[in-house]
Amino acid sequence: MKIPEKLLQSYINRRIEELDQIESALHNKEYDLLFKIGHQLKGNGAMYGFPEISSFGELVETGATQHDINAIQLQFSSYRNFITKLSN
Amino acid sequence: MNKKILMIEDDVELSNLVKASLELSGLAVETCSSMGAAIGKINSEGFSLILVDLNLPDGKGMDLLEQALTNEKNRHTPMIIMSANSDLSSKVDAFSFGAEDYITKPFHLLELRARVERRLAKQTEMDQLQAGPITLELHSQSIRLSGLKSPITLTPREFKILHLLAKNPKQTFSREMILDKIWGKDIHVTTRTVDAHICYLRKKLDRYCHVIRSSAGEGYRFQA
Repeated sequence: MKIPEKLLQSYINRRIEELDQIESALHNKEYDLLFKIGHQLKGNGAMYGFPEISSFGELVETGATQHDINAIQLQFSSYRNFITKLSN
Repeated sequence: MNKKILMIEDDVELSNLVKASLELSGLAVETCSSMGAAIGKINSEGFSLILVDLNLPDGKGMDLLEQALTNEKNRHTPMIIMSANSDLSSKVDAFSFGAEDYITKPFHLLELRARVERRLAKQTEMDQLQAGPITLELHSQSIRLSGLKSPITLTPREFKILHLLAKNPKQTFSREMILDKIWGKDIHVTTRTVDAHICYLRKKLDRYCHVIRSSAGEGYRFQA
């Protein structure tokens, strides 16, 4: 099935909005929130045609479980770039 | 009739995508994003299939499985778990709680559709008994007669009698056997009650009333 344009655009917009939320959660070490975000990204990214988002989600989920903020931060800027490019 | 599916998923974007995909197959999909809302729906409506996420904001999908399985309207409804948890214990737990299937996110939409369609087809097979020109629908306890669109509602006992006879075609059941199987040993009713129910049943079977045959002095049998 070709993903309807409206759903795809809404998905990308939500990911853009979420960037600040992730950054803030990293700064405040909000592990539960990071776990939730990571878990959902892991599940929905590849379904919208973006396996990169699922991979990042898995990394966030694991990092949150292990309380390893550094591991997430190391990948966050390249994830931000990826999402920003999607929106252009 | 459209099959109606309930999907309980708190990831709204994923839920929208799955809903759009299943609706392309002609299925009606209702969604809710919390366990509380889902319980309300499960208690008030019957669904052909339920898709459940394991991690809900107000509870665990497993608890929802238990709720549905003890609910009269949905205890025979197949449930498929959709989860990003790919570990063995989550899968084993889901099956032990009564899930029919488990699909790990991310999944391909075509794969989910195939799994859903197969479950629904199997459910239909299990839910129906075809006996000559009569289709018995076990879930709704109604029957459909060949050539007629509308289902015919039977009383629970009429349905049980017809089901007993139809699933054992050509076997003659004495009135006492029917009393014993349908009413049970502890209820004191006479064999005339069986005759009365057969009479009502035949009326409802209309032009197919002949499928319930009487064997003089022996009882009744189904023969299409």
